[in-house]
Amino acid sequence: MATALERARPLEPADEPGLGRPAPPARQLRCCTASGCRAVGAEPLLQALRRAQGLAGPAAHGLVIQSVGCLRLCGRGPLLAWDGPGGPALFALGSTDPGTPSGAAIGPGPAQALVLAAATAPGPDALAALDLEAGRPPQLLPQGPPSPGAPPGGGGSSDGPSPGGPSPGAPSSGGIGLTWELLDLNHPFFALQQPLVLEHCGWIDPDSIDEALAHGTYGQWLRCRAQLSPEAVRATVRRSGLRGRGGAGYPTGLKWDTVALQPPGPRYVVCNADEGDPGAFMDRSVLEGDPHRLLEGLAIAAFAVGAESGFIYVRAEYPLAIERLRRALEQAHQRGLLGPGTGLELELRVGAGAYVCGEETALLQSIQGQRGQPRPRPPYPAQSGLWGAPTLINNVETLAAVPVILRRGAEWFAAIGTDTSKGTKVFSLSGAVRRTGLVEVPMGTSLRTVVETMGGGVPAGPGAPGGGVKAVQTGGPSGGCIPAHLLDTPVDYESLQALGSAMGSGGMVVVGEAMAMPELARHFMHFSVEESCGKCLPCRAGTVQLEQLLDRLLAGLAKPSELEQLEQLCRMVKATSLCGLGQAAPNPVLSALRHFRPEFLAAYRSAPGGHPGESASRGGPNPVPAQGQPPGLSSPSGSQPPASQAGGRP
Amino acid sequence: MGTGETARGELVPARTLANAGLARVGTDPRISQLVAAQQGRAEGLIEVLHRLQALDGYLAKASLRQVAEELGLPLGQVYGVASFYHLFRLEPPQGHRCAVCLGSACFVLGAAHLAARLEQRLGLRLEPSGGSANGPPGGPEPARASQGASQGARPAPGPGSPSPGPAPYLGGWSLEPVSCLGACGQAPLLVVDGALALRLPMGSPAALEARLDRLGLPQAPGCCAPGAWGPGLVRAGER
Repeated sequence: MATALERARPLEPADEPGLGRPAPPARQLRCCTASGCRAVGAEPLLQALRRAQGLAGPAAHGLVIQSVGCLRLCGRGPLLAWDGPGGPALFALGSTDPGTPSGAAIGPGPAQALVLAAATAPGPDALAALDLEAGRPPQLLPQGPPSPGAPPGGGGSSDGPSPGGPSPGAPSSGGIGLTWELLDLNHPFFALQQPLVLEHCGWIDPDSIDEALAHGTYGQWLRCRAQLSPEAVRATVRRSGLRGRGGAGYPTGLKWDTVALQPPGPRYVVCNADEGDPGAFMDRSVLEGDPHRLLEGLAIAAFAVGAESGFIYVRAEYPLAIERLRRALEQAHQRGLLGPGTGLELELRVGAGAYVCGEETALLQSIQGQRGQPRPRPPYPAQSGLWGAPTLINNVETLAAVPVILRRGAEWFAAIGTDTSKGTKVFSLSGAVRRTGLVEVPMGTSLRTVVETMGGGVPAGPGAPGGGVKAVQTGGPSGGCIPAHLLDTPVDYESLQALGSAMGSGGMVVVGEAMAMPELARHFMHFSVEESCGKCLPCRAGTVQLEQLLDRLLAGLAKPSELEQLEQLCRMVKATSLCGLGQAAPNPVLSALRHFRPEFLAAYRSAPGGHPGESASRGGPNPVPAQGQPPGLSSPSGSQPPASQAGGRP
Repeated sequence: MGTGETARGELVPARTLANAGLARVGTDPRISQLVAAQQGRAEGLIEVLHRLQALDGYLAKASLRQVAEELGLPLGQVYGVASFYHLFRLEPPQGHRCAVCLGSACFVLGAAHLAARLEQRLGLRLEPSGGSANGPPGGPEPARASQGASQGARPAPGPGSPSPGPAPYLGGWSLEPVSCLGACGQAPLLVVDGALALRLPMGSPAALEARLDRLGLPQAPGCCAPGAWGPGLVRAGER
């Protein structure tokens, strides 16, 4: 069983003789400044701590305060990791008002108390007992004693307030209290992780190339150039069994061979960092937490296929990732690791908001300054890509796995995972689940382990008093949902595909009992309508018609015969669309129909026996839109008069 | 205007001079600089548009024309690119912007109903920020710049109001969807004038209204009449 293999806790780098990884400073506070924690005030928190250290005098001099990438449990941010006696330990700074970014609410007094405690505490428990109220300014009302910390090996309730679960009774007076909680690193959420791609994420300052170098980054790139042949590098990657992490799972070594064996001439490498699936943020975490690692992986890929120039295509919605990647590129150029003299020029290209640009041929168009519209394959980009030259396109996570494969060997990597899916996979866990964040687990880990053991399942809430997982959505708008009774499915490419879903890039959105599956299906179809590039008819018009059929169903206007129409149209769009977006757009509907058919049947049965002409005119102020006019997001639900709403609820 | 005329003569590729008669009123030296920074390469178009939008807040018709001339591209191609990507806006932005995240994590926690509530409250219809999802009505001419003060978000019918007519228009606000912001642990969330508002309380209409009040979101007249909360708004799955 894969999970029984070598493991390392995510916040402790694996022991590795000969790597020369530096020990962390004796006392250190690592503040997560990735996007998730930034949203809750990580940046002001970091500044407050640094100011406090400046004011605290000699007592706090021995403490190192540094900015790091993702510390995994994003739902509890802002997160602070502490290194010291008995450490490392992980802390969450919370607030009694779930709507307030707690990192921004910390005053100079509490910040100073925290810095002094971090510099002097004899152990994690002592730091956990810190009374943040000691120096609290008067506008911050007291909020009871600090939490004593999570019980060892804690179960479902060890995380206190559930992520994403605001309490309706939040104080309206404006009084905000801070909470300070020690998180249990022995909890399965952390203990079952096996960080390979994320091995340095959360340990190093992403803005410092010195730290990256001290942790061994670029070592394999230098080794390639000094000692290895491109053939040897490709053979290692081939033997490792690494498959593309962007979703399709194509064997990476095979792709590299295809590009390398094209006729002589210029070649390009491209990193696809256009992570567009809603609910997916794995690649962003790599870009924000360890950008040099990606540059190294891309450089090695270029070496292996004989490319002298390459691009990283990042979506514009990731400003922090872009900023850190730009800085990393500059630093690598300054140190002579990339650029003139190294035989490799890398360039950053920023997207402009188009999901379809994650499709490789559309991405190539966009890099060349065009509309991001796909083209038929073949020829594949490996044969004819950028400016007609052979072009290798790999996803961020794929490339970020390459350095560790070269470092530790193909066999070591291939021993992790399942027969057909090797290595680890990073998932972003979000939705109705108790613990949201980033997990890296061996391939073949069961969905139940990820969602229930690690994620803590779905807590009870209004409409679902018992809580519980209803389904797990994987693969975003191109994937599908897997019902609760199939949660023992191992996570690998083939198993998920067999269930009508897809690995996708690694977004895992947990759906609670209260969500109506037809509504979720329409949500994804609406996404595909908005993002269809319009080039081919089945996708352009088919997705619109599919959304209209779902609109009618949810509005209580659909005749039972329309179910067959829905399924037929799904199959047609799937079979005839030009690119992956259209081919996969019906998947959320098909998988919901497959696993939650009774919900659809109930909705069709509840519809009145009206015929289409009559029902269209019953749409009230928001009639079903004419074909070709994508309806506003909320036209059938929400903004209709309450009277017509009742029938639309299955 | 007419500034930068001399610079223009040096920067514009000769083959575009044939197009130069097209109602050009002047050249903007900033745009010439942006194009020069890309060495005048057509593949730099998206980067030029990004930087131009960062300067002006949107891509004006005249600016697109100058970009086309200086990059040596047909205006249709430049407009085609500008209108293809969601993040490019072809109309001036409103003074205030409210963006609602519709990523899957937010959706599972009630973002669609949050969006519907905001449509009612602001009296606006949720629209993509580019304001050009349906393309230009005819030809490549960027011809949608004259919709009066309500650019970016059309007044929507006020479903909660007693009269079925269009809701009173609220100037100065736009309501946009935004794709996943990566703060999935804090869902559902809004961005109001650049600031994140986290964990909107979807389980309680009163608490939600109080939060929206605190965020400074105005109320269109009639938006909060009794019954404005449809039964679908307090649906299971939102907490």
